[in-house]
Amino acid sequence: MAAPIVGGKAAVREALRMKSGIFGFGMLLFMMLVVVAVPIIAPFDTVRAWGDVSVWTDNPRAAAPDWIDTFSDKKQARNILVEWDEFSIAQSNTSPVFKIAILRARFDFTYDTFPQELRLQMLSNWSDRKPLITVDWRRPDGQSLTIYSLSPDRLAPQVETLTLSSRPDVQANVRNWALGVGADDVADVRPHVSLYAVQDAGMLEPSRAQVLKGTYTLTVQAIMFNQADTLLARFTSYGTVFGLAGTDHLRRDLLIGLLWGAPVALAFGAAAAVVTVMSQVILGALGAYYGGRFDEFIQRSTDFVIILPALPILVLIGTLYQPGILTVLFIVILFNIVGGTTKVVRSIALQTKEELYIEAARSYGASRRRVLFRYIMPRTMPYTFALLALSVPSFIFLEASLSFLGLGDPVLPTWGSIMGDASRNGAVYNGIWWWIAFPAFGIVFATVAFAFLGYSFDKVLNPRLREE
Amino acid sequence: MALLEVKNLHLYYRTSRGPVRAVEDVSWQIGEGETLALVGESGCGKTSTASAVTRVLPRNVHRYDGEVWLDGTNVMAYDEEEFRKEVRWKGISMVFQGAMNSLNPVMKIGYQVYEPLTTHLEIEKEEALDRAREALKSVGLPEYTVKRYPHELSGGMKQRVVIAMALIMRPKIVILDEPTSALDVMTQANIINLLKKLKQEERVGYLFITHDLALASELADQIGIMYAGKLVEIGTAEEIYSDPKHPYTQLLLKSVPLLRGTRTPESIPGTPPDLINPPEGCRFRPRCPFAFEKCTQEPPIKWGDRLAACWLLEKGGMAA
Repeated sequence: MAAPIVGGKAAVREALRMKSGIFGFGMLLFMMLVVVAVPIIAPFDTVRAWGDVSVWTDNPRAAAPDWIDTFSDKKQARNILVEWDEFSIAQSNTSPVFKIAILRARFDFTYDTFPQELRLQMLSNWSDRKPLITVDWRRPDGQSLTIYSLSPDRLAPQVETLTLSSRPDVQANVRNWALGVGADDVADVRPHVSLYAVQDAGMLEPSRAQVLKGTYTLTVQAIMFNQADTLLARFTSYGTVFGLAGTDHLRRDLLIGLLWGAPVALAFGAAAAVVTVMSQVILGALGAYYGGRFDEFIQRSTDFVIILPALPILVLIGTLYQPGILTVLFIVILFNIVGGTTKVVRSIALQTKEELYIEAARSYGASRRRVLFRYIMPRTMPYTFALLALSVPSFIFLEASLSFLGLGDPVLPTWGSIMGDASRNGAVYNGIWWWIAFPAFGIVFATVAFAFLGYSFDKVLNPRLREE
Repeated sequence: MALLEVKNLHLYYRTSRGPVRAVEDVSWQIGEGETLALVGESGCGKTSTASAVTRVLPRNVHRYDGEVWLDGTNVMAYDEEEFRKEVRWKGISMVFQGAMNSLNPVMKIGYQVYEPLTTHLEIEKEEALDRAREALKSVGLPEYTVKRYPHELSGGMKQRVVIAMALIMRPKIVILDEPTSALDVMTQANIINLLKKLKQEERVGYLFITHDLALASELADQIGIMYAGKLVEIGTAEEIYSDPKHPYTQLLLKSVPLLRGTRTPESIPGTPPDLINPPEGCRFRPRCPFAFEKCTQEPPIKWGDRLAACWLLEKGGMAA
C-alpha cells in the first residue's frame, strides 16, 4: 500500500514534483505578484473612476498598445502632452490699454504616422473685455499659419477645450493655407494630418500625405485689455498608440482595468470556491453521519438546487437590482450551498462511518462533532482538495459571464465587463483586437492556472491516478 | 465487592425478520485485577455483550436493559453525556477486534493515542504527547512510534498501540475483544505476556473476549462460556478446564486440538441456532447428545456451588 499523503504541506510538495503542478503554482504565483503590485501601479482611486469619462480625456481613443511598433518598421505616433507649465510665457505691457501675452510650446514630432487628434485647452481670466486670441502653427519646413483666432467663452477656473482637429474654423484655415501652397482640394479636411504633412499636392488627403518630421511650434498670442488678465494653455497631440494594453472607446487605459481584473477574479473565484466546497462537504458529511430525515432533507434540497437554472436566475437578479460584486458573490454562494459535492461526500462518509476506528473513537468518548471533523472529513480530503482548485475557474468564468452580460459590478472593471464593453461597441468589426484579446487572455490564464493545480492535486491525492 | 458487575443484561437487535436476541439475560462480575474470559463460537454474543457494557450500540437496537454496576454505581442509569464523560475510557476502555482497522489511517500514532486524554481532560498538547510516549513505552514500543502513521507499523505494533491507547486513562476495566486474533502465534504470545504484566502492575480487570479456549487459559481467572446469546456456564479457570459441567463446554474442550497426544479434535455436529427464533428451553438442545424431555424448559444456571445452565445437573451430573 502506498503511503497516504497527509497534510497540506506534503500534498503541495508532491504536487510540485509534477510538471502541471509547477506550471500551476508558477502561474498562480505570477498572479499573486500582480495582485500585490496592482495597488502600487494603479491605486484604487484610479480604478474607482473607471466609469467617469472626464478622467480619461488625455488618452487617445481606441489606441493600440504601443509595443506593436516592434512588429513593423513604422513608428506609431505617441501622445504628446504639453502641460500648463511647460508653455513658455512672454508678456509685454508697454501700452496702458492692453497687454500682449505670447505662450509658446515647442515639441518634436518624429513618428511615421499622423496623430489621432489635436486639442488645445485654455484657462483665461478676464474682467471686462474678453481677450483676443490667435493660435499660430509653425512647422519644421519654416511654413507657418494661423489656425485659430477667436475669444474664449469660458472664464477660469473653467477650462476652454478646443478640439482643433475637428473645428470648422480650423479646418477652413488649414484648407486655405494648403491650397495656397499647392495642395489638391478635398471635401473633408483633417487638420491633424495636413498640419504635419510634407508640403505637396497630396497633403490634404490622409492616404497620400507624408509625415514631416521635426520640431513644431505652437504659439498662442493673446491681446488682453486689463493688466490683471491671465492666460494659460495646454496642448495635446493624441497618438495612435497608448500604453501596454491600449485604450478603449472611452479613452480608458485598459492596462488598469486588466490589472484590477486579476484581484477581482481571484478573490471572487477563491472565495466562492472555498465557501461552497466547504459547505457542500460539511453538509454532505453531516447528512451521512446523522442520517434519517436530516439526510433526506439535505439530499432532496441538493436535487432541487441542482435542477435550478442558476444563470437565468442570476441574470434576472442582475437586471432587476444592479448588484455590486459582493452581492453577486453572495448570491452565487447561495446557489451552491449544496450541490454535486454534497452527494459525493455523502457517499464517501457513508463508507467511512462504518469503519472500526470510528466505533473505537466513539467508545473512548469522542464527541459526535469530533468524530465528524477529525475522523470522517479528512477522508474526503483527496476528493475535495482537488475539487477546490478545479472549482475556482468555474466561478471565475461565472463572474466573467455575468459581467460580460453587463450584470456584474457597476463600478469595478473586470475581465468579463471589459469584454462585454468591447462586444457592445463593435471591437471585432473595428479591429480593436487588444480590447478583446487581453481580458480573454486574463480569464484563460487564471482558469488554466487553477486547472493545472487541480489536476496535480488530483494526481497526488488520488492514488489511483498516481503514476509510479 | 466486584469492580464490574453485570446483571440480567439484554441486547436485542431489530431486523426486518424480527428481533435478534444477541445477548439474553447475561450476568457476571469481575473483581479488581481479575480477568473474565468470555468464550464461545462466532455469533454467540460475545462482542455484543462488550458493546452493551460500553454502550456503543448500532442504530437498530430493539431491547437494551439490565444493570451494569461499575464500582458501586449503576451506570445504566446514566444519560448519554454522563456515560460518555464518566464511563468511557475513564472507567471502562476497550481494545477492538482487528486492531489493524481501529486506528485512524490519517492521524499520527501519537495524536491518536492521546485522543482519549484530550476528549476527557483539559490538558496541554505537549503534556498529552508526553503521556502518549509514556504509554507507548509501557507497551514496549519505541518513542519514535509517536510520529508514525498506522500504515508504517506491523500488526503486532498496531495491537500494542491500541492497548496503549486503552490504558492511557488508567481505567479500572479493559475490554479486550479478540485482541490477538489476527496475529501470528509468536506475536500473540508477546501480546499475552504484555497483558499479563500490565494486569499485575496496574491491577486492571480484563474482560477478555475470545473464541480460543487455550488462549483464555493463559490469562483468565474466570471463564464464561457463551452459546447463542446466553451464558451457559461460568466458573473459575480450574473448574472449567478440569471439571466442565455443561455439555457444550465439554464438547468445546474436546474440539481444541492438542499439540501432542493421540486424541483427535472432535467437532460439534449441527450449527448454532437462529437467534431470531431460538429453540425453546435450552438453546443447545438441538445439538446436545444428552438432551431429554426436560430440556424444552428453560434451565436455571445455579446448581449448588457451580454455575451451569443444564438440567443434567439436577440429577447430580452427567451420564458421561
